[in-house]
Amino acid sequence: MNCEEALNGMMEVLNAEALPDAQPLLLEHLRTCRVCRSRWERLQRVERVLRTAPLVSPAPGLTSRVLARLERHRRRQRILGGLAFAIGLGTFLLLTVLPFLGILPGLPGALRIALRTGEVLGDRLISGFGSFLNSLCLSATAFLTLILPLLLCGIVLGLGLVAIWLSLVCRFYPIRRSV
Amino acid sequence: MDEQRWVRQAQEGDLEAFGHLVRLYQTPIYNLAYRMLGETMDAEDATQETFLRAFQYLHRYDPARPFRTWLLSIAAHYCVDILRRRRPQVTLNDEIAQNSPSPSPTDAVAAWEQREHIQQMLMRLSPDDRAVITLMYWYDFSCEEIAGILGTTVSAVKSRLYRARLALAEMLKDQDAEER
Repeated sequence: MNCEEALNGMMEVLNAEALPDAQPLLLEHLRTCRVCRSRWERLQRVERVLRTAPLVSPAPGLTSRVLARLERHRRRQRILGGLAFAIGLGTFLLLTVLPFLGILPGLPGALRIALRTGEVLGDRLISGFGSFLNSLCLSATAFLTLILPLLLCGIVLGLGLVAIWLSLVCRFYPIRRSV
Repeated sequence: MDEQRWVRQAQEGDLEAFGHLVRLYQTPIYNLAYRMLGETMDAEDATQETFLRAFQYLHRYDPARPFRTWLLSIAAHYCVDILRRRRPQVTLNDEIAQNSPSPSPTDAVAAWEQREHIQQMLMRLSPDDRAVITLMYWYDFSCEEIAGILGTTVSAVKSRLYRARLALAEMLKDQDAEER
């Protein structure tokens, strides 16, 4: 056995993995090699020092300090979670209710015109229907060229914001289940 | 068993049950943090952070695994991260010499000196080697268990043990030479 094999043998002994037939060879080497013998003695000293070293205890009151910190952390999470919820709700309302609010200012005027022209409504029904179809075509063209891209952008933006919101909610209110 | 019940209750958000777990494991976690970081303040902070993370990720805990191992794994990773972020440390010889109380025959001082002496040797190891040594000698974990805790292979653990033991033996050799 050479010195390198002896060192591996020492580590196997320390790991309690040494095979019984390898130990006499190691002992024989240690008897004859002064360098390995002194290394083995030092390794055994290290072993003794570490095995007898006590566990170090924390200062009293650590449990209450941990729980107080945890409580503060939870409070902060609740606030941030609430904020995330409010942002999500606000975005949702903005994207769904606002377009309807946009037509409200024009509604009284439209009603007034409808009442004034009510008398001649019958006469103009046929020409009105034609105008209606005309406006429909114009509206559809406007919708396809101008409003649709805006709407798509709005939907993408909304989905992005909802995804951010969901990730925040999941982060601060994780689903508690054992895995 | 109480521990499993406390874990289940803590998973449902029960802070009181989690408090029982903190009380049960504060010393092993603190000891690991102290052995890894070498400062009582840092160890206290790391212990608090470990429990905070444990509570936060309790839903990921696998009950088939011992809770103690899971907690130690969080603490060990946290401490290794802290040490990697720290600037390279100077050897603590000078620092210890400055902070040591003057030699006295009392047991308290002898115990302090022994604790600091071991700590001084540990602090000269790399964070990964220190983690392996601490888990092996203070917690009696096998190489397989240490590999599981640190998320590495058994052969890597053995190699770190080999390196750390030799380094510690060399430190003893130097110390003997200084004393002569």
